[in-house]
Amino acid sequence: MEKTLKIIKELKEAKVLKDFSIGGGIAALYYIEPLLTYDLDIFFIPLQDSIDVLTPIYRYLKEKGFKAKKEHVLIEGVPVQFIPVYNDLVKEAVQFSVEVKYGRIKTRVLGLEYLIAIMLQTYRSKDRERLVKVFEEAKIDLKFLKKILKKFGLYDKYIRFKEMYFGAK
Amino acid sequence: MTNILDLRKCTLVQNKVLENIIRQKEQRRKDLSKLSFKEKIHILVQLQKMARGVTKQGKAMEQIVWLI
Repeated sequence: MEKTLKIIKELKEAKVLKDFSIGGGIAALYYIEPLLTYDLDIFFIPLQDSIDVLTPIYRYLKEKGFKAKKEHVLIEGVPVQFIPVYNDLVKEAVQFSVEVKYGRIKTRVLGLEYLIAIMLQTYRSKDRERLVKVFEEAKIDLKFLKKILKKFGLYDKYIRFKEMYFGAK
Repeated sequence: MTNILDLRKCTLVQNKVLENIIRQKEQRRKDLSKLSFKEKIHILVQLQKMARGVTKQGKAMEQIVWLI
């Protein structure tokens, strides 16, 4: 995993991408109890806008000897999925990621409140499951969360979620 | 609106032993959430190994176990 994160960090240092952050299940795992997942989702801001923002990443990794398999690239034994930022919320979430250490490697993980907002936005069954765990187990800055949710039009959805699963606003 | 967790709590109040078990499980989850990132990834890999043995509709699931 350390080697995987080092290679991902190199993508930014080599200016293959502008910025990145760990998202998805592994970001959730950072804040809550370990949960089963199979891929490492990397949200990234491309260096420049183009139709195919993945090509420079795949080319760089191919030169390093890492092979793509379906939607993943296997980097040092870990399937990594690169996901370009697809809306303003995800872009801001990557920009305001938190720096964390994994062994000797410094990496970036989506901030908890942004992660919650993204899960509320996507709202698949696994997002709802993770959201319940996050609200039960993690320390959330509710004031900051509210600010983000209002900015991105997710506050009403959050209230409905809280009422359904926790019976409170 | 129906509150899923309240329904669960209502059921549990009627059974003290079960309530105690659930409370201990919740505490364990909270304790696990405080582990380091690296420790959590090690547990994740153990979960992947355990899940690899699970079959679905008679076919072994082709799920990868991370090499860390």
